[in-house]
Amino acid sequence: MEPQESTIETGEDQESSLGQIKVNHTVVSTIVKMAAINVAGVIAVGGNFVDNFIAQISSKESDKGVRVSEDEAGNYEIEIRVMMEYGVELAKTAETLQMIVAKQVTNMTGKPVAGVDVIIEGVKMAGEKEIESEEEAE
Amino acid sequence: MPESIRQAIDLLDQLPPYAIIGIFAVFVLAILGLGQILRKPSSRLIAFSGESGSVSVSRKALQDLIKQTCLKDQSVHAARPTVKIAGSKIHTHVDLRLKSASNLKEISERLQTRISELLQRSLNFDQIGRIEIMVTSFGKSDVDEPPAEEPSTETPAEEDIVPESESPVASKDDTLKNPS
Repeated sequence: MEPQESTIETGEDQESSLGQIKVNHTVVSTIVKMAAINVAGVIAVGGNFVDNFIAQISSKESDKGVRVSEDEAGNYEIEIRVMMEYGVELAKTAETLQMIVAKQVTNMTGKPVAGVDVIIEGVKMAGEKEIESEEEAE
Repeated sequence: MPESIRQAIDLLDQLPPYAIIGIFAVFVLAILGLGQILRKPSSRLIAFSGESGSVSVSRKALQDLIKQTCLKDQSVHAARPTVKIAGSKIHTHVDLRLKSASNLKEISERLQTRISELLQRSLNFDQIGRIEIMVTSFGKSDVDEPPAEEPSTETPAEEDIVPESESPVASKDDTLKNPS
């Protein structure tokens, strides 16, 4: 067996005829973020400005708005913190988010998702989303 | 004065200004870092939980939601909500600045209804506690400053407003009254 980088957190190995396939939790985290941001009503993944600033200088996955872990059976357990748009039904949007994230992660990694815990960290007006998008574009 | 303190003051006197500024900056960063490490996680309320996972709402999100709802009302110039999560119930207090001296009772009752409906509709919350509305000032000013601390007029939102210390549903979450 080849030596592994102990600092990299990897998912459970998946055997194939050609060799092992490993998915880093950071990759799963990116999939989760990309799936979440495309859900109608979700403005951003992560917390407020201070949290996002801390996330830039932190290496902890939980500080970046998404935490990925595995249960005893090896299924993904995902926690995601989001900002939502004012006016949407938060509960319904959160349910949609759970469904889409679970589906996307399962499709892309081939591993089932045990649960997606959604934490609504804030609510913003739609105009604030446009401003944020423009800032990101710049 | 202890000798060690006197020595420290003498040492500071000998240091150039930029060194003192540097020490001060390091001290501030250390305090901020310590604050970050010791920071309490914000309290959250679980909206619902199922096989696919749970959905929680932070206090800040609830405050944002209530604030935006209040600001949608044409009579409201500024709103500052405070949300308390006690057990499974949400208690809300909103300081309001109105644009003009209108019918306070009508506005307060309207906002209470809207907030209650909002929490029920958006989050399926049925455990809604007290919703207190307090009008703190009138008049639309150019500066968007928060409502004044000293209330000039008060409209009790409920007949039986219970002081915080006497709240029957008090819990440890009560200590986190205002996270900001």
